[in-house]
Amino acid sequence: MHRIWGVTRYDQHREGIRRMDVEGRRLALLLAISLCGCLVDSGAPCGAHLRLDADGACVCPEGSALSDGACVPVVDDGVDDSAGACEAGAGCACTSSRGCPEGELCDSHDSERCVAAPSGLGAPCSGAAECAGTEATFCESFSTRTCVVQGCAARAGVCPGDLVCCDYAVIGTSLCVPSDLAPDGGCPAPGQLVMRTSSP
Amino acid sequence: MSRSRASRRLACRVGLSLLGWLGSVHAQSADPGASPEPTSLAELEGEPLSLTDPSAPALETLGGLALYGFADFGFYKLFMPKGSLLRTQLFGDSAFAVGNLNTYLSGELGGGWRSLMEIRFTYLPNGSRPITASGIERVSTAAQDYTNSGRVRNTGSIFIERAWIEYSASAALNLRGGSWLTPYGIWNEDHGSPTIIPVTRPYVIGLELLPERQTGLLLYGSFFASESVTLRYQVGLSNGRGPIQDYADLDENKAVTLRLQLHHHGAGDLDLGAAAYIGRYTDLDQLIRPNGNGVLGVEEQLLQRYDEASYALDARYVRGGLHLQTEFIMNEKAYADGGRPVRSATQFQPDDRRYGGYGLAGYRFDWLGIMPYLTGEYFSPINTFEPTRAATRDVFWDFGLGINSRPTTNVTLKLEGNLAVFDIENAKGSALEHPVLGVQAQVAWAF
Repeated sequence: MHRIWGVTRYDQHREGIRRMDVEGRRLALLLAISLCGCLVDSGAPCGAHLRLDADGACVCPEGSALSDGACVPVVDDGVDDSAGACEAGAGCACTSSRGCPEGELCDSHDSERCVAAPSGLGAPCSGAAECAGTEATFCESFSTRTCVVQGCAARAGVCPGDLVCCDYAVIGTSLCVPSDLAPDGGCPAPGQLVMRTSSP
Repeated sequence: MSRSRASRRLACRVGLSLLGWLGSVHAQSADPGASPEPTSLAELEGEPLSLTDPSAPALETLGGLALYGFADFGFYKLFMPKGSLLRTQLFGDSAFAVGNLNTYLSGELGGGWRSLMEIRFTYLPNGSRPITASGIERVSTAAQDYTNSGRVRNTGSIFIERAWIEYSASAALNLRGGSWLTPYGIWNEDHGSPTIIPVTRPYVIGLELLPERQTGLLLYGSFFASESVTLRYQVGLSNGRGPIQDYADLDENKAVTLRLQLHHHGAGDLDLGAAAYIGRYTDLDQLIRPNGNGVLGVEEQLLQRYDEASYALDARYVRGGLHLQTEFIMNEKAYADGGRPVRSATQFQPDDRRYGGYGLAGYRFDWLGIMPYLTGEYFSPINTFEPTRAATRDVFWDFGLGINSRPTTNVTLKLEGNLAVFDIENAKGSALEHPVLGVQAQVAWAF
């Protein structure tokens, strides 16, 4: 008899075969059960609390934003964000850009008024060519896929409006990001905050 | 090659024999007329004979403490698109490389007890290129050698591949404790490069859809179902996967592994196997904070946690020189609340189902033990690798054509060409822009 799995004496295992037959069926049943149970729900891959976005990734529920690895409620700063509260060109008072009309930023470090945002900022892009010729020359293709202002670290951390300067050594530049995404100076990973050391 | 010639050659190798527990170690030549010739490293590791590649290189079993192992040396050249992120994982320039250098220490302890330790010596982490917040940093282990006038040398490290002790009550009942390779598929346990037919194991195995190794208990045994059919079971209980899984579990959840195998010997040898793994991964950070009484205490912060289930199927058929082999593996990963990793500035990673497999067909001729072979691999994950692309399903294909030759029982020569193509969204400029081509050669040897 050929040698199989180190067992060479077939007759001595006849009794074991009968026992294995019963145990084998139990193990096979356990395996079959485990194969039937699917852990991942393809239709809801974000769990009970997060939303699935158009990219197939998970995002925070309405009214909250990702900060330091968790969803945190977006704090109402008392400014009326509703349309019409502050019209373009009106130069109305503000404490954050969320209180300004679209296309404007809150000049929170100086006049504390809504001012025009740099050209190209927030424009959709898939490559640097689409941001060229504007003031927002970097195509941020990691998450927002929009044109953003770069090089703020070389300008003493100064960004337009209330944007925050974050250094991204991994891509060799620094970017101005919305203050909502950098609460308490915590830049979106792997960015490092560049402190603003000069007045505009 | 005749077995007697192989045995004479093997007899030239020197092993170490441990004389009793107090252990005066002496060299010992193997007896050419000893037990039947084992057919692979796995047999010496205590793995069942028929589970191993029947055409794998032979080694000699030594009494007492046995010291043996395997190594490989090779040459590779990869052709990747310029600027591809893959270059952070793979080297594009052609190079010679010492690959695996693994040594085994196997001990028969008497009374049904035995142990095995496998240590891999490696040049790592020198030259490793992790991507960090500050960019790609190549690790240097340069150190001043005090035995050589303080001249700078790069140091290496070791991997503890496995370390276990087991008690065998019978062929049907064995209990192993320690760090063991997860029993699934064909080439996870029998991982010696002389045994692997291609230059490297298929990608889907290296990806560890089931953890490569676990630390815990493994119960296994085998039975004859008939004169031609043998059944084998393996049941494992372990820490499961984790950042320090070899000696700590960061949750109370223990992982369970189950594997069933069938071997049929008739017109050729047929092996069929199925495996399942269920476990929980937890990574924690510890913060020292004052508690309500003003006394410092430790607060645990969850970094990542997911439940996972993996399934694997394998089949191998060997008849004469013909060798057919396939494996299919799937892993499901569902993140827990608060344990989901961040994908980008605004996104978290979604749950993921990854699956893939490979097929290999080859025919070994008697002349120089040459085996032409063909491989095809398939793998499909959700894109978590590149946050610049959407988290859509990627598909990888890899095809290989090569020659494996065993001019002697302990030496394996390999020459292989590879073509990898990818089916992904926004491939242009991606790390997975295809095609990726490769030429690899390797000599692997068992000693």
